[in-house]
Amino acid sequence: MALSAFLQSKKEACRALVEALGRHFDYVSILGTDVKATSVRVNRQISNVGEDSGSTECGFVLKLNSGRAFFEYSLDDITGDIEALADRIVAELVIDPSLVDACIQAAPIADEPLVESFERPSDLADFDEATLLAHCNQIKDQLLAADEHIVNAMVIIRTLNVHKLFVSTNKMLDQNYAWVNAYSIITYRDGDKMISAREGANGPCLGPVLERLPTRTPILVDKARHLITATPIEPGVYDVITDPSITGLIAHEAFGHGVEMDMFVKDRALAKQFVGDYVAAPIVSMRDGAASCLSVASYFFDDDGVPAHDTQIIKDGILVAGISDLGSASVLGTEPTGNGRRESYKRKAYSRMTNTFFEPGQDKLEDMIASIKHGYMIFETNNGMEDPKNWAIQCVAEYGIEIVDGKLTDHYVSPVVISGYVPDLLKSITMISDDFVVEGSGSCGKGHKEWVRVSDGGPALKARVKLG
Amino acid sequence: MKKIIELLQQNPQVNDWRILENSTESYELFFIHDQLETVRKTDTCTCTVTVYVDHQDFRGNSTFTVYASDTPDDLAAKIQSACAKAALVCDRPYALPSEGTLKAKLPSNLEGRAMSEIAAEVGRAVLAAGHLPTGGINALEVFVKKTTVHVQNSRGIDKEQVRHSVAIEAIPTYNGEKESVELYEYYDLSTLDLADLSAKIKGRMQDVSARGVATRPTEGISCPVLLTAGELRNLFGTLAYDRGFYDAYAHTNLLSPGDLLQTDPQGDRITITMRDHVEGSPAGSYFDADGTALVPCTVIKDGKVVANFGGSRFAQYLGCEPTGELPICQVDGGATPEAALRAVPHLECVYMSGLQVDTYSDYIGGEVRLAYYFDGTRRIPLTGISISAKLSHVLNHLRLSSETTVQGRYAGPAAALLEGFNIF
Repeated sequence: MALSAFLQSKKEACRALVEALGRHFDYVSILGTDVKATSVRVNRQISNVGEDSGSTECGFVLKLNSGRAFFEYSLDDITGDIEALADRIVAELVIDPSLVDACIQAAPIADEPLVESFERPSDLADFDEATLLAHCNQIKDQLLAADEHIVNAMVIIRTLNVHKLFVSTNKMLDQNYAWVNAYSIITYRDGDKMISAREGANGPCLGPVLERLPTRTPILVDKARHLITATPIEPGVYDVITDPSITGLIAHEAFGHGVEMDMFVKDRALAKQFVGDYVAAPIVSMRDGAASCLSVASYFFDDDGVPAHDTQIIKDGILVAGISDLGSASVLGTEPTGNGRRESYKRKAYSRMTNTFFEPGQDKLEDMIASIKHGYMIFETNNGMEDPKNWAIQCVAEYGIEIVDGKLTDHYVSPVVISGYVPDLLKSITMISDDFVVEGSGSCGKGHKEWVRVSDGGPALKARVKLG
Repeated sequence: MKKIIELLQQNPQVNDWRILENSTESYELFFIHDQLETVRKTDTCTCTVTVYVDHQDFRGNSTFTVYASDTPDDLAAKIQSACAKAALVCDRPYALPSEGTLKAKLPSNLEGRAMSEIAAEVGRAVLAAGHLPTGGINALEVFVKKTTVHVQNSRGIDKEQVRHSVAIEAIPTYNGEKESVELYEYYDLSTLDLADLSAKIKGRMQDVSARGVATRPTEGISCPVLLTAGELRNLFGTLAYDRGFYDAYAHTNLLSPGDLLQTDPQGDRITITMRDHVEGSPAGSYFDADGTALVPCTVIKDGKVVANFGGSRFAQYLGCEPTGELPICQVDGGATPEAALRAVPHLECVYMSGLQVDTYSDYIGGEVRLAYYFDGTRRIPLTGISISAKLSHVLNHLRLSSETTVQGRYAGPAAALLEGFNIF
């Protein structure tokens, strides 16, 4: 995948705009995005083939700084008179006189010279929409034929084709990569009870995803047959085993948000005071980074033009470091870690997670299950909510399976809400499996907005938590 | 836009088309403590074109995005590509909404003022209201926006509406001797009332101060739960949006018109009406993304499902009259004054991680970060607790306040007292 023709054609205009604005600001950068998202979707009654307009974007965002407050300007195009555009941008980025003296102080921004083009091989061009639609219809028909209680089946294949161009005084970077997410979702009804169940496949190339998704069909149908029998859980504190999805959710909500270093700047993260201290059991290690593994949040440079990192967050139970964007690093006087991400060119860059996970341990999953007299194995992320200031946590799982006398039973419970105090949860981890899965299909908001694609995961954990 | 329409009209494969433009101008301020960290300005437009292609007895559609830099050749190629994709889709035929023109502004007192001035005014007001010897607003984001939505189609729809709004994200923080705690506040307003905004922030500063001294309960609590508008919006929104035409057509909603939402109501009966406008809500709209005019629709009446709502296409499939995709959930107030609801022992959940409402699993619950337990005489701040219940039981045992309020897409009781929760 080479840089898109659109961004290729704008390189010189970007250079010229950086130069023109450089007469007003010490630091100027421009990020150009050309992201095309497509969706092929079928269910029992309707189908759709086209762009996923919610994720498709094409435009530019400028970042400007002269040692105090940052300025950003988002716009659709930079075609035309560059000098006039620069004048317009400067004129429109006014600050009300009452706020001029209230601007923050930031350290000068390093703009290390770097000119490079990055690309990850992709097979998106090898498949046309007719092929994808036929594939979706085949899986949908198999699902609908599998059980009379399946009232609807939806199959979705989403592709994301990312091209980004970053230009500053000393940098000219571009990156080009793709990601594929596919899902099968069924609605299963038995009398007055109805449930929804899903299975997915994802990866950087379509071919393997198309091979993998149909293999999930029998698993999905079996899961639905069990979920329809699920009962509410009796609230209480239990020994649990988390599947990789829930492990990842805990990593994400417990310490991922808590080490986003723009939260350090705002004094919104308790973790700031705990760097160098034990925050988890000594068997726990955790990492984040666009370069830490290959998943949906793997890129070559972030939206601030900082190269992707692999950051060790927790090492043997001790909090080691946080993750930062360029702005928060410049205020804190630290090195940015390649975690500056935007929902789109229309939005601000914040410190954000990428691929976040617990590292594998040395236990066998079967031994972990066998070690529990009574508890639950918890599966599949529904949603979660962070509280980095006060280390409360809520993780909502789709379902759990009761463990009795060291064996998984047929008793499903749903939904399952994990809540509690982060250090209590992390320090209660006593076993970690030796396997490892990162789920590349998540998205994450900061507070209740600013959605970006993230992955999380890890091994299975054994912990003691409050379930409700 | 004229060029796109011309190209669409020239393409013989295009049977119908829709163009949806969403333009946003914004001015944004980001504060850390009382310092200005970032100033942002945006001037962007997202324009999508949907083509509809009829083939045999089917209709297919496909959507693409128009870029500001697209040339006529680019656009012609995108139209042709979209036609090819639409021809793959074999859906039941449906007609687009037709014949309607409108150019309107949604009511707001923000129009005509400089966005930078409004943002600064809001910033100063929130920071001042949050100022306490023991705390303040640790982070504040202010988004002043003018959004213009314009929809046109091949059947004569040409509608445009302009919305002015200000969105505010604030983090009230209390710095105690032993620990610092925070709450999260988000407001989306079409009308700015600085006195009201300041009063809300001051109220939240009291709450966050309470969180600072809140403790985990030392013994079990069993009492009704009192929820206020922030959580009721989530509860009733979930019930309301289960009534969409799309879900009815896809057979994915649990209940149908005629079914009982409240099977054995022991308290107030629930009535929910989906509306186009409610005074004070920033979500008001004159039309939906297809240009269908919005017609208010009561979907639940006295605890019984009476109707579904939604846009033109799925209304046609179901043989119903379209109401448009109505944005606001209005719930009728109950018979009891809020003060009377608060007079009995209860647990008021002020701040939750996110109330989970699952109609399929018959579940309602979540983690509570700040609650006040009223034991009949004292109001005790609590933290570190969770609540859970069977949704169907709670719906049969709820009392709604007679006072109503507006919060985002919700207009309804300011408070409700719900029975049947486990508090743990």
